[in-house]
Amino acid sequence: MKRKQFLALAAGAATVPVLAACGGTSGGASSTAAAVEGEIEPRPISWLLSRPANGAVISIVSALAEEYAAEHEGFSLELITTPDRPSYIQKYETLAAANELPELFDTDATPFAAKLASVDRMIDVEDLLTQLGVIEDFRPAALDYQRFDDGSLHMIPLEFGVELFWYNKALFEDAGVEVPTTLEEMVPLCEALAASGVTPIAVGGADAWPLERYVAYQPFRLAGPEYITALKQGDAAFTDDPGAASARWLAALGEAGAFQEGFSSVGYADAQALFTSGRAAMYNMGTWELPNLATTELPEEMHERIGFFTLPVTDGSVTGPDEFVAPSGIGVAVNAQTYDPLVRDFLGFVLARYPEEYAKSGLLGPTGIEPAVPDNALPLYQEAIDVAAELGDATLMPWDTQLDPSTNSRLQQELVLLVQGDITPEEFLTTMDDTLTKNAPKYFED
Amino acid sequence: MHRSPLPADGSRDRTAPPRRRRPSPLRISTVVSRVLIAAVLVVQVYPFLWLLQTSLRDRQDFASANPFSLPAQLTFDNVVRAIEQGDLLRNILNSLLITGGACLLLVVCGMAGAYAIAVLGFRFSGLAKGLFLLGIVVPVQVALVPLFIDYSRLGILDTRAAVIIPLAGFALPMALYLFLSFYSYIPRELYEAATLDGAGPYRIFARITLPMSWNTVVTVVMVNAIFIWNDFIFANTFLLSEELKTIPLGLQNYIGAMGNTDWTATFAAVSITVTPLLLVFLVLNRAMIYGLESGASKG
Repeated sequence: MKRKQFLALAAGAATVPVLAACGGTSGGASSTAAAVEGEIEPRPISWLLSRPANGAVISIVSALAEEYAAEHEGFSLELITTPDRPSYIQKYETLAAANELPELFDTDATPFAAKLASVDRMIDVEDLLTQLGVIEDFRPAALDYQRFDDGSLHMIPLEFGVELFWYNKALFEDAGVEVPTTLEEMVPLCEALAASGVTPIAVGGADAWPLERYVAYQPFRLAGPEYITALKQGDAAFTDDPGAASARWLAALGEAGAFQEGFSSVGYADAQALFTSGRAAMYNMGTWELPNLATTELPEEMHERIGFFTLPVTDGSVTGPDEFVAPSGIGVAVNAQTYDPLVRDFLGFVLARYPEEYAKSGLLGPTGIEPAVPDNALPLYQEAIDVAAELGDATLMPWDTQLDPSTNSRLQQELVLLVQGDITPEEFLTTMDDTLTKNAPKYFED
Repeated sequence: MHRSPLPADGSRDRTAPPRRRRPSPLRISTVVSRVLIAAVLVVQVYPFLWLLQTSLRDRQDFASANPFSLPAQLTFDNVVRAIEQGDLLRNILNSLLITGGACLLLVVCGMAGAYAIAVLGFRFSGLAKGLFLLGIVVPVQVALVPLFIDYSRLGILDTRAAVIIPLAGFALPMALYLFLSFYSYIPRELYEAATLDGAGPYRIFARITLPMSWNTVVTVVMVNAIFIWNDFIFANTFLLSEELKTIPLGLQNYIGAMGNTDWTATFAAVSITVTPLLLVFLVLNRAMIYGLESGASKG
């Protein structure tokens, strides 16, 4: 039976392109699933999750689950935690292949998740949120981040953040430079900063994703979010104008000495320390670090010096200055096979209370509720939160959640070489197109 | 009265002058070997000292200064944080149970299997041996999903057995090979004599083979215990609940949002958790030397 289901999953995966071609019509089957009826029978349910073990999300949901259990005897929420993302993905994909996914599980809007959704393994969350009457509470950008390419929504966002360029005003002044208004201006800006003896941009290259953000900026400005959607399926090429512009820009940044020495092996915490200790002038990081970047946690001398700007535009930009990366983190999917009145009722209970509780943590949440700014916050804290209220419509999807795994890991390696000047932009583009044509069709069509 | 083994007291004197005449080669070799030993010692011990030092280092100090420099001041905050955030004691207990269980299973199966193949002998025993050794080439990753499905059907998913069985299984070919090569050194006459005295195969195993194999047992355990202790992939796949997590899984609890790792707390946790392994290793190290001294070749 299980093996049959596994084969069904594999067979279902093969039909993805067909379903994708059908677009909006594929939601039909699952839309009735959210409206499950019947008695609520309390039982233990599990949540497979990839979030920091002591984070706000886990502690709030656990607390709410305990309250719910007090009213529903026999209910409990078991947390299966794996904070490390690569280990999590290995576990999640094994469970999916064995058809043993628990009631709730975390997933990014990856091609793998899209396959699961296409074989009706995840319920349509848009439908569920509408029925629960909470969909209006969510920020559109938070929901958009979780959507698949066909616009369907299968994951509930529990977090939200906007990614900003934090900068050190004093170092900018010393180097005689201004905040850049276009991406092109960042090249001479970095040159000037490097000449003044500081690291222009601190980046945690060891984590791969911070550097991968940069490759997406030019294409997003030049061609909008559609470029990556076409690119990942092999319908666009890296050598097309947006990709080529990106490669040239990154090579120029590398030549300008934008990133610190040995950036590719520098970890997340070290890159952040480089910036907060005043040795680097810029740091591209989301609002989830507000407690560390905009409170008195910062070294005293940095309090007056820290500022931020949003992603600069380009000449002929098709996306506006109010549109950039605004991730709502990893989403929660609801397993369609174990979905029943209890799961529905529990989710309804949690979602009604969660936004308010999350706002107390002081972090920007997936709903419009204003977070409680902590007592030790700098004025900048509120300013950063206000940015989220004025977001535009287009969302920059990080490429690491979009590309197939093989192309993605190759891109991460090649990016380092490109920025270090070990390969030319042309070599980079050819290599990436070769990798893409080899892997993308297989991954998206099989 | 006469210390005859030494030819004469003068013999020492006689060897002395040539030593004095060409002292340099001897000295150089001594110096070189001492330097080498010191170098190996530094290479071996330095990471451990660095680990200890970092675990006592202030978090900000570690993040902002050179990670290899000496700490500005020592603090026990990391240890406190490590214990608060993680569930170290339970992780250690789980690791001990799983490592112990897997080693026991491994030794019992390896020893019995090798005994059957090498000592008892049966038709196709050569084929059986070949099949076992073929197991060395099977990569762990391909087995994960089928094992996962089987375990979930058997209902042993998310139990310690689900980790112990594959860990022992994947180490078995190598263990069997070690036992096989050891058994080939036990003289056949020993078994023949025992058979003449009326001992059956079980008695021969219990009275002759088993007592003589202790050194091999220790070797097998030593070689495998570290790998089993550090195993991540099986534990990560087959264990789901927090109560069963082993140390390598528990260490993940120090990973924060978007990969922001609390390194100093991790180092503190690692320092605490390597200690049992280190102790076991030291104990087994001595046992292995004893085992070699009282090995079969002497009997």
